[in-house]
Amino acid sequence: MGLLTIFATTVAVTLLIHLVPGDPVQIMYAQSQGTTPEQLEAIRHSLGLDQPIVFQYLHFLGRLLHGDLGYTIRGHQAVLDVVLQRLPNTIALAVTALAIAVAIGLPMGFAAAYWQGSLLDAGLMILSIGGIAIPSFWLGLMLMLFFAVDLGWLPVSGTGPLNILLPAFTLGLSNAAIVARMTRSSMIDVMSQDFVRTAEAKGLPRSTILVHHVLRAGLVPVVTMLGLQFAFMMGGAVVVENIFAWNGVGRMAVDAIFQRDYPLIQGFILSFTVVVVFVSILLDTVYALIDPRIRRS
Amino acid sequence: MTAKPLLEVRDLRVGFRTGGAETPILHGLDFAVNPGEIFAIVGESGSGKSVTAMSLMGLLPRASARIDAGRALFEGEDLLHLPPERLRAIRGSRIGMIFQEPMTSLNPVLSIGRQMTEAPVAHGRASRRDAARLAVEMLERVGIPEPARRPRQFPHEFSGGMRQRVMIAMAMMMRPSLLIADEPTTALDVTVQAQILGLMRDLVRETGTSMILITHDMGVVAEMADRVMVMRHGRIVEAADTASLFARPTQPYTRDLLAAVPRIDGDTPAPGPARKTAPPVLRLDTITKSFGGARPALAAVSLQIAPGEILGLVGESGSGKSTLGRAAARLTEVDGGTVTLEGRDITRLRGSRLREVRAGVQMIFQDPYSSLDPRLRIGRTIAEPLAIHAGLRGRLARARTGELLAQVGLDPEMADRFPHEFSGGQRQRIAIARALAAKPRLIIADEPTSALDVSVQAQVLDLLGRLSVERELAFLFISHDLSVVRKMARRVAVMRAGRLLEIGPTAEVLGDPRHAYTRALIAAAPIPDPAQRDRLTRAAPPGEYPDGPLRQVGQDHWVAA
Repeated sequence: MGLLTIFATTVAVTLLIHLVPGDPVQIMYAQSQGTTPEQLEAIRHSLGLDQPIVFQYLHFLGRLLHGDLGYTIRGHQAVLDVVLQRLPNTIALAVTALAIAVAIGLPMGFAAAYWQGSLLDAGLMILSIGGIAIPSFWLGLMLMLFFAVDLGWLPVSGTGPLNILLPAFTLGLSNAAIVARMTRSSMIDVMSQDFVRTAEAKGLPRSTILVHHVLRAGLVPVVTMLGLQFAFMMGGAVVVENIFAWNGVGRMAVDAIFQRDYPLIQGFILSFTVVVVFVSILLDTVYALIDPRIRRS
Repeated sequence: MTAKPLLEVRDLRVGFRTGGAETPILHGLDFAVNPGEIFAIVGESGSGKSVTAMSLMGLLPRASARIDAGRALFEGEDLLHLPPERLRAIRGSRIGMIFQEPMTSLNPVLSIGRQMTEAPVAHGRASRRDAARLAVEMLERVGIPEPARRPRQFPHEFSGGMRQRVMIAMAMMMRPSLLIADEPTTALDVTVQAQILGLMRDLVRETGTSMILITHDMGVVAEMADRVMVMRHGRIVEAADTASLFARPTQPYTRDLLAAVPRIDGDTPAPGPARKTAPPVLRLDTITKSFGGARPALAAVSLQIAPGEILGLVGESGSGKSTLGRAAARLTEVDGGTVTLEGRDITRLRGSRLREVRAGVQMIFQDPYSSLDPRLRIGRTIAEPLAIHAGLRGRLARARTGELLAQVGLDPEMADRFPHEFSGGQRQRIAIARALAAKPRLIIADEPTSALDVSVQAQVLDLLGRLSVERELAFLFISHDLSVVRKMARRVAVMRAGRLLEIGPTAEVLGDPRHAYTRALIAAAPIPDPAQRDRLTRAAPPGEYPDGPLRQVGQDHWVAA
């Protein structure tokens, strides 16, 4: 399944370059003055654009299997190197953001479910609507203004261990809201299940019932959703990295798009796909750990 | 009774808050349970029997329910007024509980061993290791094979009957002095029910535990209980020892309840006019169907139904009886064989031709709650087949809908209401009216009364029987309940594991069963007569039965060899 997704992406990525109306090479180099037609032809040839599209694709696939993603048009660096250099930064950002989302969202949703219908529940859920509604670029700017500019606690932008906090929170907070809502509905669902009544009838302490029976069973759908969330976070990273000048693939991608650096854009899309597929496989494993019914089948 | 009762309930009153107002549910119950006895609480839905159990356990929904008055003295303590922590200490250790749904009453993500041991550990009765040893012992005691390896398994690896055994083992872990069983066998097949009832009776005798058995089934009461309390609308109708309640019910309601229970040793419908010459309305020829499992859902099943005939089809879960019903209506494609409806081979029909034929065969399903569209006024639900099959619309359709409602015993004025405004029995009448709308020659009724209370069931069965006679309407009457089939059908077919094992006149098949499985089914069916107790087979029936080709053993009577 994961392999199929990656394969489909390679096709899409090859076609991408042809979706641009007109001659891609001309568009790529439209901004640079004084490129001669001979140079353009050489570039066309080096990109393989003078061959039929099937050959282009097979050629691309062949190089890909050797780990060769081609060279960037600006600076002529290996695309793979450029991507690999920045990918860890983006993954670090997305993982931190996911951790923040879970650390805030899970207890929030759990508390809201436990005191369902109370003022606390209503308050938390209103807060979470806010979290979902606020666009991340605005939230990012506000956090930056408050914590970095006014209080001066955290660096405004750049890449580094402390610098990760503001972009991670920007990305994590809105996702925390989604995690909270999901956790709440899942927990409420589980609390009305027959087996929770059985646990109560056994005279187990309330805390045991909540932690061992409700939380564990209620986590199954939450974990499923976290896989999707991670993909969204990788996407959200594109915006947030640009706000905070975080040196990840998202920022690289935006630069590449503005500079029409097609090989780099291809590399970006492919690397994203691989990461997202990998994470969903990882989560399927976690899923099986929680739910024995999945484990056996 | 001179002995001091184990549990003494006085003037128990419980109310539920809905919106602003409080509705009383229990109107002052007085009863006592003696040490070592099986005390049955019997009643129809809404009688308050489960609420009674839940209030004793302190498990009423905190948000909506309130105990308004009463005392429940259990071993010297008032369960209704204990602080929650004290009550929790009693719950599970001195009072155990078993629920109806074994499929959902165990936590799917925790191992059996974990679920069995956590209570003794939490109550401080045993170390983890001792509890684990005890769990294996209990699993063995309730008849689970290979008990030593079971604690590591998860609920989905057990069948329904096995899960209920696990539930019983779990509830008995700490040798409670009172066991509350709320419809413990209602969700189980009849042969499994017989085993579980036998097991519970043995366990209770052996340990001296008292049991409160909550049930809607008079047969189960007769098989199990020492004393019975009949409830209705939150009040006690009467309470007596089981033998005298069945022999001499003093209240009209109890008498009606007993009269409404279909009996496996009861009457069958009188033989009607023989219609041997008429071609069958439905003929199934060696139909097979597989869903890809190890064994087929249907393995070369053949049968036919004459016009106006009611054929009972009996089997336990997984027997293929519902698949057969669906195949007869072409709701399921068969892999092989032919389905002939009114002389027409419909096995391969498609599109409008199929639609045309389908008017002749209609279905009634088990669950009247999910088989009606909740957002459609019932008049429209019934008018839909009228428009499709008879082209009736507008005022004509409305008039016809009114007639149909009247025929099933409902007020034609009700056509503008929504399904939620009706009771279960009324909804099933609506489903019958919908089925009649297409003027079918055959109705496939799949457990049409299994979700209904006995008194309502009796009315719906009467209605179906009357319709069959009046309109010469044939029925394939699918049921797990032999007694219901006995009451309805002149001919009965017994299925197991996708095969037809016995088919013949009802009186003959049930009176003189020729197949071992039919005998096991009959022996397992509870009889609402305490005098016939101790018939229950404890031993699990054999896993294998002869299932070869049918061979004739009497007139119209065929048995698998």
